[in-house]
Amino acid sequence: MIAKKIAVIITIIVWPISMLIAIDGSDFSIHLLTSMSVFITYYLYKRSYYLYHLPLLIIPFIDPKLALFPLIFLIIDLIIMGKSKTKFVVLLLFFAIIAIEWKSFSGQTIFIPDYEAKQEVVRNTQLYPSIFLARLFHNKARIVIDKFNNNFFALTDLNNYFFTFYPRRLTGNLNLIKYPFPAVLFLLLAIYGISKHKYNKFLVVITLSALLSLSVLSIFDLNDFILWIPINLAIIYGIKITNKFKYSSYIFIVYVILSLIELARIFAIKS
Amino acid sequence: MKKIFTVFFLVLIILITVITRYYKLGDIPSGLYLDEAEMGYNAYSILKTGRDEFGKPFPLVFRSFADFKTPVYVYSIVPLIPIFGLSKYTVRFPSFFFGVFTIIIFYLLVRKIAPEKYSNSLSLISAFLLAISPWHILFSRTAFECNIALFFLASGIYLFYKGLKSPAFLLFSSLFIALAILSYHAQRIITPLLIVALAVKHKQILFSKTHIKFLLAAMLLGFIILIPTLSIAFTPGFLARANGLNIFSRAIHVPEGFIKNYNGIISLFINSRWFLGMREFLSLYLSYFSPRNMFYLENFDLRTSYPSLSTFFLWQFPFYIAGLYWFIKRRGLGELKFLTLILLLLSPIPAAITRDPYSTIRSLQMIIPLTIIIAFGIIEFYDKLKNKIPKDFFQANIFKAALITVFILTTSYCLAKLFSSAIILNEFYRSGQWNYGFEQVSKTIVKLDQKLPVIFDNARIEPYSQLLFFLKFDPLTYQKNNFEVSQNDYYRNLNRVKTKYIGNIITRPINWEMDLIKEQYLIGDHLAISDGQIKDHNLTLVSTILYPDRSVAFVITKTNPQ
Repeated sequence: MIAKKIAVIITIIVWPISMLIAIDGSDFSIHLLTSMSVFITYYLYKRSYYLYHLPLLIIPFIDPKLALFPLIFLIIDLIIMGKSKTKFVVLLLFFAIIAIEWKSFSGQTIFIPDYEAKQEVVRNTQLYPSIFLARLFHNKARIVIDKFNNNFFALTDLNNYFFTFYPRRLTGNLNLIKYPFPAVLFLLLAIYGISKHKYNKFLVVITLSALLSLSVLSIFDLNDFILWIPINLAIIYGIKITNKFKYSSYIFIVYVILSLIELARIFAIKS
Repeated sequence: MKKIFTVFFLVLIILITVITRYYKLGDIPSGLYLDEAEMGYNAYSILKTGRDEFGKPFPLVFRSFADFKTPVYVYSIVPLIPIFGLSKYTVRFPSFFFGVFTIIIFYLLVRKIAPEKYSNSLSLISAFLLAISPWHILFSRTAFECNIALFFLASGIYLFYKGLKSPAFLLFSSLFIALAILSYHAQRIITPLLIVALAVKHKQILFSKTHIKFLLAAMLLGFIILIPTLSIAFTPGFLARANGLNIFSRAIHVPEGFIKNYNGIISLFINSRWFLGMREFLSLYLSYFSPRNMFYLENFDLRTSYPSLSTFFLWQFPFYIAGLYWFIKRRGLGELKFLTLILLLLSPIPAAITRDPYSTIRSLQMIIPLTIIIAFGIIEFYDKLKNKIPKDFFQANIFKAALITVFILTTSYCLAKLFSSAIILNEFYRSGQWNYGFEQVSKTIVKLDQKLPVIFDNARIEPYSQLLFFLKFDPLTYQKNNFEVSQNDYYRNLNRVKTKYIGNIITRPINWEMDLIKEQYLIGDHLAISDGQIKDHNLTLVSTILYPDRSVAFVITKTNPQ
């Protein structure tokens, strides 16, 4: 069915086009390469290749900010999809890579000292009648936790992906158009039916590891392109579910029209 | 044993509800927001003269700042003034009162509609979560119309379900539903839609021989209660809020995403109002389900959330996600599922058609389905956990002890967090948003030389309602000395007169050329009367009112014409 195929293609191309227009070509290629390694991993997993993790090895070398991603992936993989000797060997390899990339990675995380936040902690502490109560809610650990939460909840906000973060945009973020807004319905449908997806465990592992590794960054903008593949896979699954509906072709036609307008808007904003 | 536990837990919930809402009710926030003062003074004016501040006898909606406030809250303050006097406590008391009863009604409602398996646990946990909810506590401690509307809505729904068995209750349901519509603007959209949904779902019972007479009587009763309001339903005043705030209003709102200066060939599509309007509505609608808004971010309008707290506690986030998934997937939840999902889907509509991002005021009714879903998530999680615990007596007891410990720790943490955010941080950082300082200014004004005029700058603020409130100014004198519209134009003319005369006080912008010629007092915020202006204009500093964080709220000065 042609409308369905066009729907899939438009869904996939919006984010990279939007990004390519907004940033430098060489920067874009870095983000594209990281996403491609995620895709190859998925492909190998589908093919039941037992060393499917290996493509993730290159990510820390392409983009040191994502050095934690392969490691977290493997840890969650071990928990959800079961243990194996190979995985433990790969895990050691990931640890070694992080050690190599540590210097360039650690300076870009939420763990870097924040003088202003520390001052705020001291100021707030003085407002409380009891030091215990003050320390319970205002301490140095809370600074890092707050930053983590800020990133994590921004990354799990659907408005980020479908509505350029509107109505509560992030300052210092490009707030790009990432997906045509009606695609959110396909994603919700996919989440509803995720238990029946053949590779649902892989999707959960890759999404969770991306969310966690991005949440520890001081700025995750553009690096969140690592989520491009898992979100695409989920939306395509939603499209597949929709395809079973009686009037699916009409739904796809409306979707394509709205998506084309969204696509045109990317170019109009640039011009 | 189970009954004793239920009663004990219910008493505990009510105790927590009362403590969290009543503690320093009239003192914190120590400021009185202008809408609160406006409602309080209009209630005072109705009590003393039978007319509002504009001289309108018993209005159906209160003109106020030409934003036309719904009447139920104002009238609920009237009988309290002879008992408690005109004070912050009195103005906030209806919210507290209805807030407490909302928890009880919510408990009864969930108990009534939940399947037997969940009935006891879900009603108790839901009521407990609502009792400690920062969202509900905030609105129960301050004068917000939406809070009493929530009570009437929940009561109306509960009585509707009671009415399905005993049809006489349909009459009471109708009464409460009508009051919900009269209580808050957002209810004008949600309540009719909800009633239609409930009526369609239960049409067989409602149109049966036993119910039809009561149904017609209930509809008639509701209609009669709404007649006076319906009679002004198409006046500009009644529609003022809807027209002023909605995202589809062409006159005042440029749609989000509108690309200015783009004249390309496809401009017709990419800047089309239907496309951008639909996109904006969906983005606003979806934001009401976003964990980021629910569990992490404070509100855009700083007055409608507490510092460092969102609408729900952070620990409830996993239960929301899992609860929502399980709730949608689970079969056999019957009426619980129907009502929860229909309320969940309808509730954000009035909020999503307005510009404000994540308005917790307009979407307050969403607290009912969201709390049920989080409670459901907790119960399901507990069930899954319980199945993994060996049924050995010793281990079962350890499990119970661990659960009680977790419950005590969680409750203590939530109460401490509420104290931290609502009492300490809110008072320190948000006193400006709560219009702190007018009480202190009023106390100072009374001590000034009463023969001299007082000019209160209103270039950026609207000080007259708070002055009237704290000075307990005679309503009849105020009505005589001020005119904004004729009685016939009360609901039609939206023009405002900003200069107000309150005895020797005049509220208007300071005119530095004219006002220095005469000996009088000038009052304003730190922008209206800065240190430089005091020096340049040779003013005498009479008093400075400071916010709790020691920044300047108001400056009271006297001119020296010689």
